[in-house]
Amino acid sequence: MKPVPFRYQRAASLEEAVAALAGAGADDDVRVIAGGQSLGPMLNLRLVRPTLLVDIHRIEGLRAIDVLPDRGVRIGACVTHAMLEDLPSGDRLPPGLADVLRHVAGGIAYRAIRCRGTIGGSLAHADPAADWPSALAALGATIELAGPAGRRSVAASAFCLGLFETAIEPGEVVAAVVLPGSVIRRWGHRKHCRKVGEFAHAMAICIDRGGEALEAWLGATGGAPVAIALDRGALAGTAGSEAQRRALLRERIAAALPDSIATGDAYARHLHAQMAAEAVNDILANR
Amino acid sequence: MNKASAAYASVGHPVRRTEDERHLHGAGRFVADIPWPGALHLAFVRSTVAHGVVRAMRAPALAAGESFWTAADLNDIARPIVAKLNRPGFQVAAYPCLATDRVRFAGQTIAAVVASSRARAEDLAEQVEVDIDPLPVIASARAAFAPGAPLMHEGWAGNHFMKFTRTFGDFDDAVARAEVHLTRRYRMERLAPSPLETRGCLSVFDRAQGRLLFHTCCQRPHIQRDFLAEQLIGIDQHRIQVVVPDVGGAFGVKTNLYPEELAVAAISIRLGTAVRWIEDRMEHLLSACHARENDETVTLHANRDGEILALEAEYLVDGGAYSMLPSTSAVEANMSANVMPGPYRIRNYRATAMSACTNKAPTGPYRGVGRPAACFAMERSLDELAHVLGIEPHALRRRNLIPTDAFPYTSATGLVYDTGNYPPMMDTAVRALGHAHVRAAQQAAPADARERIGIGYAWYVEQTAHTAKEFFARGSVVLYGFESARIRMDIAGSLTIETSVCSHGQGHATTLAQIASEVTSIPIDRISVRAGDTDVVPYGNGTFASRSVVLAGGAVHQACGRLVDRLRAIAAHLMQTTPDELSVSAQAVHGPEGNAPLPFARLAQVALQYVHELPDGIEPGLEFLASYRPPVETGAFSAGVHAARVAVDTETGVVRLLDYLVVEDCGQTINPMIVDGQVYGGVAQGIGQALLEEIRYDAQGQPGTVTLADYLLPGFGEVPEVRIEHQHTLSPFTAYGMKGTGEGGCIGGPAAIGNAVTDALRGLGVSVTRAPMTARDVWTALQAARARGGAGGRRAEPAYTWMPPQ
Repeated sequence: MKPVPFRYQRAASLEEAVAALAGAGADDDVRVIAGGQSLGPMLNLRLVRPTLLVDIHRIEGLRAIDVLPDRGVRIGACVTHAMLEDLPSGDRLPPGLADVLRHVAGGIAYRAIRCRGTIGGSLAHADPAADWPSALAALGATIELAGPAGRRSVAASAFCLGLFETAIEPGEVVAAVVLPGSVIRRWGHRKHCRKVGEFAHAMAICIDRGGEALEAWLGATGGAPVAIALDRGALAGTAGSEAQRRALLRERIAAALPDSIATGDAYARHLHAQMAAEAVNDILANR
Repeated sequence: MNKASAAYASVGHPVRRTEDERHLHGAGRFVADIPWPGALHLAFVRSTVAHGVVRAMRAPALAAGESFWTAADLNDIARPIVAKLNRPGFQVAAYPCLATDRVRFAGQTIAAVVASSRARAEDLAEQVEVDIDPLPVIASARAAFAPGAPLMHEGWAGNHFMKFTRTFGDFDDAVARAEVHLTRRYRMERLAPSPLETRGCLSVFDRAQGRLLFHTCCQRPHIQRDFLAEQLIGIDQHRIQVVVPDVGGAFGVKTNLYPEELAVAAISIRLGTAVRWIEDRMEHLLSACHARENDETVTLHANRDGEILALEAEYLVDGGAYSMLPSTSAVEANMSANVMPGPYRIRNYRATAMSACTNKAPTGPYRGVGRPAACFAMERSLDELAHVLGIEPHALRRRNLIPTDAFPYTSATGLVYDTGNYPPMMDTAVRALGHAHVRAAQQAAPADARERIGIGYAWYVEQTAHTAKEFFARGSVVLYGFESARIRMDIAGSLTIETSVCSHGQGHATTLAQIASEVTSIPIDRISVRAGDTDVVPYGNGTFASRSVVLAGGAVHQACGRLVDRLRAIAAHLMQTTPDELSVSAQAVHGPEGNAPLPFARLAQVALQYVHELPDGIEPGLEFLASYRPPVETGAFSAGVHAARVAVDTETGVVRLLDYLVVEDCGQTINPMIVDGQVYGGVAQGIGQALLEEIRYDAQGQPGTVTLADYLLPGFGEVPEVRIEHQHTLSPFTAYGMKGTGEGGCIGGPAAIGNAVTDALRGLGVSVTRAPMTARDVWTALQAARARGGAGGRRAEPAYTWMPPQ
């Protein structure tokens, strides 16, 4: 379990990282490595066989968590899950946001992995079973990418395109994740793992910012995260009985499931629906 | 036997392990850590198909100093490994270190590459092109026995390593008398023992001396040396030194001699240099010894009052492609058949054991060997019987336990249980688990509760420290008759123990020192324990089968007794008195009133240096070798009850352990903290096989579990705090009355948890028949039960977590 031979370049700054990517040859298979918690095993299993590895994890500027004027937050790509798990409580972030970040980060794998694994690396890797793609989509995040043409932003909801597939163009590297500062009133996040620390087999997150629409997303779908169309009226519906509400929720979740799950294994389908129902119920129960 | 006065007590105390400091500081030394400048690294080319004939191979492009090896290169130095049992009808499958033509499982070694680093060796290994003509694949035990199945090995009469049926007692008569007959089928899946440290070796051939220095992580240095000498052509035992440094877990998997190890030794001899192979986790999951995969059919013949009159069981084990040396692939089925009656007075028993040969990795011993599966089938069946008869499961068990006054007790299969006191253990378990309280809570729970609570019990007995005659009776070719210890006192009066057993985490350096300390009064920080070097330690068989504390401990006890006798004799001479006037304590010999005590250091000085002061007839020197063969060879029998309280989430099928209790009896404990550690670790493995662990193959024999992302091991999240209750029923045959306890912890888990899950889901019509009982299994069975019975409907047959193939 040793990787194939590759060249290794450590970038001291984001500019250096972008330059390293730009400087790679046409035949090069370049990979960016940050915490290496997914890429490391894949290298060792020779599932990825890069010719050049650009290491960004020592870039100091990518490890910052900055509160923005709108009380949103900008999280550098190399901020570790553990740093988010350990976010201090206080009034710097809007209510709810720090709780969600702490909860999602704290549920990723094991502490040892969280101490090295990064939010940017998790996004760029885009393992469908990872926690951040669906969570950041639900939180309305944008992803900042740095490339040869400068910086651009992509909505988290449009960032993951499929299995290990993202909106990152060749030569680009994830620079930061920006989260909006609006208040989160209630939230629910559920996932199913066969054991603690394992990649999830079903995952759902629901965010309530007090408006009519609820942001509800399914993760671990085998592809990109999937939105569930939910609005408060339907769920809290004036005439709705508890049974009707449940039936409606089931229907909306079923409509959201991608074909691969909807037509696939009954247990997997049930787990997705169950996690989604629990995440939404966390909001309703939490009134 | 001379023993120091009771002033210094060491046996029975939870002394801190002397091994732990180096491990906690990362200063342990394992095979991969041994510095050996210039050592080359070896990687294997392994079969990617389950069954086929190797037609051609193309060597990689080698640089200077690199080499490529196939079977043809090693034929004249390494013999194929042949494991067998001296039992009628046992069939031998020769296992070459590199495949000669036929490959019989995915992962089998075909060729080897040697280079300056492991990474480079892997680069070369993946360049090797292998053409294999595929053959039909046998991927299950049932397929192996299907009519017309192709033969796995030439000359065999059917695809079995071994099969037999034996009947004990008045079986047919008892069956005819029984009022109730209950048949159930259970399956325990294939497991990978998964020690933290994988296999590995560093083989160094010294051309000048003509000697092979073989560093390896194994459990039995001398046996390993014997095996290497038998397999390697042209090098005898006396020219082989096996050195075993720290070993990071073994669990039986490191009792075998593997083709990989033999290939590394042979290639290092050929190259006249040092070659290292450190197995990676994928290799381990592919090709190290697998275990279990035991498919069992059990019938209990009982009276309505719960008395079991007869037991009938069939064990169908998928043994894989070859037999492991030396235990063979028949070890699981044979052991299950031998131990099935467990703690119950069952005199009439019929057992059929069949070990099939298939296109999967070979199987062999893993902690518990045969007992976890036997316990699972037996204890699950008892709960089913209790349910049918309307008796509480613990009451049914109590009805059938061997009474305390029946010991020594010879089981139906001929095992001689030395001592035991089982009924109070059942009472302790029922009380400590809060049985009545749980029953009340179950009654009070709403009918539509999402989470269901259940409790389950499982019993086992554990034969430990059995020796030559017992292994002979099993047909073992190697008979593990004794263990030895050499003790040396130095001129300062401190002790060195050299022992033939070989710790892979058991804490021998502490427990053996405690026994020496108990006998001699020397504190354990003045006692060193050395092991794992065939040039240093006396001959013995090593660590396995829960034997070390009794046998090596017995040897230390004897050798120390001889040392104390010698010291007393010298002291008697110096004090002008007789030895029986003397007592030993606080590292000194004390004489009658008026004599100053003689410290050991003074006596050692006389024995080792000032020998002119020695009396006539006393030899100089303070080295004593004891080879301990116990007075009975049938072993000392430990016993235990595991009790689990679980919560089952009916929406997800997830089983949560709310409480896990172990009531155990291993006689006198030497270090109760180490005994608890054995229990905790074993229970973790039991929980793994109950809920998570499962090696999977598809119908083409392709492995589906080659990383720890697929093969799930329990972690802290899955293992609750385990509560342990001790009972001490001494063995009359061992020093201090101790019994072994290495395996019990991992035996009861699947059965206790399976019973608890079934208890939780009784009202919903679900019955656990498979280990692991995954969340998916439980949920699927719940759906099946719901579909069959409708809401609240009455079901004649429950839905099973596994349905036997028809």
